[in-house]
Amino acid sequence: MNDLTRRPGTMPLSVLLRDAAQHLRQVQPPAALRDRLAAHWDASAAPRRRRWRAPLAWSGAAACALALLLSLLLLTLPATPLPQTLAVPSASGFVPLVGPERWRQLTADAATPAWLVATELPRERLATIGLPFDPARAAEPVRAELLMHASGDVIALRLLGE
Amino acid sequence: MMPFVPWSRAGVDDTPALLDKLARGDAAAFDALYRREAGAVYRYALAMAGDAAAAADATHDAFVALASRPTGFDPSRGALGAYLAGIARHALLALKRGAFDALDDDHTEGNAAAGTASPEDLQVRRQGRDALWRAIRELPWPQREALVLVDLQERPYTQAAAIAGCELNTLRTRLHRGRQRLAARLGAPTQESPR
Repeated sequence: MNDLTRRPGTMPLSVLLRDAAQHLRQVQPPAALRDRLAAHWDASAAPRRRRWRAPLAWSGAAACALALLLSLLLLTLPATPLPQTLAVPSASGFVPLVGPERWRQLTADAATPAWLVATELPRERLATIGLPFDPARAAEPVRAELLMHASGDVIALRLLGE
Repeated sequence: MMPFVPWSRAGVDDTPALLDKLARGDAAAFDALYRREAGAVYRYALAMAGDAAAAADATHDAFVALASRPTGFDPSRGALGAYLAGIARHALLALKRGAFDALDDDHTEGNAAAGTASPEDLQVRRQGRDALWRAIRELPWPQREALVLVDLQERPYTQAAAIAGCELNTLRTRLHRGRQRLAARLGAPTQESPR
């Protein structure tokens, strides 16, 4: 007769505990628990996806709105060429799109921010700012950077890759 | 649904990597962590509560907490299993279930009866085990917890103390008193310590 088959009151505590420990090790969580957690995971996954989707959607909407605004600004650029003096690029390559007086006003306040916005514009638009362009490639877009003042004015333009 | 993921390689602690994936919403990582840790958490809760439903609820709460906030676990403060057991412990205490019912036969029998012992031996063994569980459930929570964590789950003392939220010496004292009280209730000799 081994220890575990002796009457309970005569068994050493350590033997009883070892037996109970071995017994407990064989216990497994019910399968239903895993199913519950899986259901919880699936249910919480949707809001989690939505949580990430919302900021992305707002960022996308903001980018679209900015692109639309820039397109409108480009379309409203003066149809007549600007004075030749304006089409002289600065050292940074920017061509002012406003008159000298307005330029001075806008750039006088160094604290007012301006943004650099990458865009593409029809090549034929180069003529409107006094820059030469090849009519044979008029349909091709040209990459450019716009300097946009905090007031909303596009004050300068720089062509890229030309 | 959570996909099946094979066991990770032994000896490689990929817990941080799994937690990182979990934080990014990876269901497979959650499943892997569940299959690795759920057994011990559930057994602890079951041994403490003596009630399968309460144990399942506490284990559920622990894993929901982990899934909701994987960054809540700090590896420098102990093992993930201890962290989860700690959450389950809080859930059990919150339930405030005074009753400590006998372990469900559905969960505690099964393979335990396997072997070459005769039906008579098994009956005696069963009586001994039932008597032990009855005595355990009569222990005060702190002593019962120390006994379950150290003697029944064979966790390291440091981890057991972390789960129980007490100092190492306090845990030893609780364990000692729990064993003494248990032996007295069972009329069993305590000439040897299980560990």
